[in-house]
Amino acid sequence: MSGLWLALGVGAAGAVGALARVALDDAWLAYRARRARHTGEPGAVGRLGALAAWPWPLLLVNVLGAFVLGYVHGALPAGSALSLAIGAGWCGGLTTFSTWAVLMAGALRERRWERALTVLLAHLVLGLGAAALGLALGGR
Amino acid sequence: MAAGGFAGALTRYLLTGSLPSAGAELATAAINVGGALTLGVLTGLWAHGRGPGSRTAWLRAGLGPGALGGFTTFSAIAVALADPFRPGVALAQTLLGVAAALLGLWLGRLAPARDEARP
Repeated sequence: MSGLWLALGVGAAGAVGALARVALDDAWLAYRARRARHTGEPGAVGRLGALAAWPWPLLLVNVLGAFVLGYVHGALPAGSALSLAIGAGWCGGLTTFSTWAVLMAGALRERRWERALTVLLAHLVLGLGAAALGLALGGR
Repeated sequence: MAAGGFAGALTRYLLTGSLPSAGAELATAAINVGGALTLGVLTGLWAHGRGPGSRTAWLRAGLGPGALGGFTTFSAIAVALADPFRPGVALAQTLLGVAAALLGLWLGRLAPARDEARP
């Protein structure tokens, strides 16, 4: 495969990954809005409300992407077209660092220390763990 | 959104794809911190009803979660820092990203608010 087609393939896979990330986030928001309407309660009240308002979709995509990239690194030959499209493309587009960093920065600005710290630790611990698990299962 | 994700992922691949692994790791760190700074600036601007796409939701989605979300990546640093296991480097890189995002938010909010954007 020529370099140009490979680069376009990586970009297209990245677009699919980014769309999946945003679609999951939108679906989660819509689900919470629907539930809030049904129960007649505002979305983020009390302990359970705070738990539901925690950024779960971002954690899910980042941990899933770290696992898949780890598996691809272990199982597929490095630099092959498929490993680049799935790894650099799909996993890279699915996962994101900028949204994560801005989310924690926003929480710090609003002095929500607990939110910033739990988001930081959950991503680091589960993300590195998922990557290590993916590498191990991929035979690395 | 899709165009933003395509452009972001393609640019990251072109910047890092040809580098050896140590160089790619450093370039990815720079991409992530730079992307966090840029998204911070945009978010700060948007909070004041300023900046590109401040009145156009699809442009905001395309630039923010699309282009910058696709440009920066979490999976690459998670895998690079899981083998060999270097949690300290991961933490340091993340804190640098958060500091960059804080700086960006502050810079973005320096812009005077648009009248109609005030609550």
